Amino acid sequence: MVNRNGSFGRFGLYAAVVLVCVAILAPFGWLIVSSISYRVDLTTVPLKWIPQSLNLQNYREIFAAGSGGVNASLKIGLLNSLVIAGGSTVFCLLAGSLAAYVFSRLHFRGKNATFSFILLTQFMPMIVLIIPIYMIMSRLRLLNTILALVVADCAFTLPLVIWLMLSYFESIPRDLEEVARIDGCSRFGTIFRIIMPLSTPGLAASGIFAFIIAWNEFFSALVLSSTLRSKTISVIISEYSSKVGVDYVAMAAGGVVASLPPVILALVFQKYIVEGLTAGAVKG
Amino acid sequence: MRILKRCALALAAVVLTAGFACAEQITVIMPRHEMDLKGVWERQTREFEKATGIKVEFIQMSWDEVQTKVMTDLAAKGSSYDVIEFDNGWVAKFAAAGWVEPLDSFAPKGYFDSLLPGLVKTFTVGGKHLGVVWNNDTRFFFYNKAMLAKAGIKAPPKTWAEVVDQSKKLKAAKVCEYPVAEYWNQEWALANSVAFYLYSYSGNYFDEKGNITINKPASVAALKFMADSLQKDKIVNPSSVTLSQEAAADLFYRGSSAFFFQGPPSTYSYANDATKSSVVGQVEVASYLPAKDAKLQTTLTLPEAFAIPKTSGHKAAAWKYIQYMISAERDKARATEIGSLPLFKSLYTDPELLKLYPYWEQFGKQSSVARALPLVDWYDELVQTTIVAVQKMLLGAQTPQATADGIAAYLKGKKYNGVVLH
Repeated sequence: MVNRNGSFGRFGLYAAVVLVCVAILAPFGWLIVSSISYRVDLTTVPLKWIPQSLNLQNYREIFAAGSGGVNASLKIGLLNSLVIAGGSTVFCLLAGSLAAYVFSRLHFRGKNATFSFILLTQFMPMIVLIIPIYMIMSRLRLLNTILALVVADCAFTLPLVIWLMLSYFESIPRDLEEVARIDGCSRFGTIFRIIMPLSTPGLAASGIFAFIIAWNEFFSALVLSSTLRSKTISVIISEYSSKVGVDYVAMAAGGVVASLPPVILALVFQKYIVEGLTAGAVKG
Repeated sequence: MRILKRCALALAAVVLTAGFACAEQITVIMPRHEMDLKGVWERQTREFEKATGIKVEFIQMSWDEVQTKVMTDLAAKGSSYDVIEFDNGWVAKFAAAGWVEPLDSFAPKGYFDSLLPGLVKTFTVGGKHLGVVWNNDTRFFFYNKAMLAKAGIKAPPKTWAEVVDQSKKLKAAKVCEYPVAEYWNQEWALANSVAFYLYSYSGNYFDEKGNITINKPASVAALKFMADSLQKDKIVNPSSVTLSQEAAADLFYRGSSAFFFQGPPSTYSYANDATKSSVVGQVEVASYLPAKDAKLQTTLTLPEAFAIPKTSGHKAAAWKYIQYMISAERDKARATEIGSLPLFKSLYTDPELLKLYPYWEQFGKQSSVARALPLVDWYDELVQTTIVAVQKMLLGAQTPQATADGIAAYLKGKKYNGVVLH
């Protein structure tokens, strides 16, 4: 009786896991299928889930030199997105970690109020802030530059990184620092030689979140960039639409290419992500 | 020796400065042409740079994004752009706001006469040419001849009554369940469709004297036909109330509908592309359009033009760009490479183009009855009012007369050409 209940329970658990996996992976799977199909296959009734012949034309145009149109621009957008997301991630990790350390370890008047104020900025939607941001960037002559997008992404990502790293730092025993300080290590030395190496899972988790947020950011990129000098991949993918319709197949190919970097990063750092997010969850 | 060196350095500085001063730069913003999948416009822009030495910051985005950026910059009296997208729906608004530069003083004699008259007229206000067309987006009537043949129909319909009659034959012969798929989703394109039906019934929103005519019998008959075709005769696909232009076209390419009354110029080439269509070899372009009667045939022309903002600091260079890109030579190159409809009269009888695109002969016949949308500076508000009211009608929530009365109530008091609508 106990064994049968255990088997039923395990079967139910695996069935639920399969259902969730299908629900999450099916749309991505359809994106890949659409990107290698011909448009006629996508509009045929009944729907052809597996295309009869493969269409790799869009991938060829994206990666080949000398091609024109939106597909050729995707390479440049990919590079811009990598630079912008990478730059804002590095800055947010550095500045966010230091800020989180201050809030975790130091005591000063107004510490809680300052931290609350930083988190309060997360409540403001981008649509409220985009006009002031546009005006600031225009006056600084930073419109249509990569720096403008890095600054805009950092403004929204930094509070999140501070919050995540604070939780992680709280889980690191203060005794380790005290021992290092007794041995003559400076404050900065303690941070970079003791705290940061121990915080690798937290840094990985925060880093991947910061990267994905910056990578997926569309609205600020749309408003602040106009040419290929700074257009990101999410803005270029939106250009597959014209007055009379959307090139779904090409857009799907662009979507697959755009999703690869964050997916690869998440797979590489997945162990650290889980560790980083659950650190401090269980006391003692 | 020292003096000689200093003179040489000074001369070099002068030459370099002069060089930099000559490298003028303009900024061009335009939507991507729906048929330009190869980047032809970008390539021709780079050829312009080589030919003139004028650098071009070339911005191409989706139509909606261009609209947002252009409107924002013009309203803020910015000078970010030197050549801008100038849609047919914006002409009255831009003219009233005084945002764009008249181009008559830039254009050489005979330039505008060489372009298609209907397209030139759309961007002319008070006798001044405010824009030069770059996209001849005239809509045409296409039909599936194979489906008609299966139902024993020899020629496409000439009147709306024949449309209903032929559609019923197609349904009876089980060729297709809904011979017509329309783009009647509550968005901008629905207003285009309403204008097409109004014109084909000799109706309109108002006349030249300022009389509101949307709720008069001719216009109400047009709205009634739209509603009846969906609800009573059931010849229009019921999903049309949620279809975009593209989705309606997909039904045609799939062989689910037999008639496409207002297809973009690319419809014929798409329908014969096996990677996009299941009806290759079955689609024909009609030489006429259905209407209440043959004399009322109309098709819509929704062209787009280039304009130069008054705030541009490089108007002469901007005009050089426009004249270079909108020339018969470059227009023919684009027509040959991507099949975009020519802008110049002479190219419609070009033997090389007619050999490539023989169906352009039918396009030419339909183009002769092309009409533009109403040219008023409050057209975007009219669109919003119309599409909400007409969607209610199509969903059966109000009658065609009530729909027309609602739109008429909005129009009352609006100004058109100095006349208050009444």
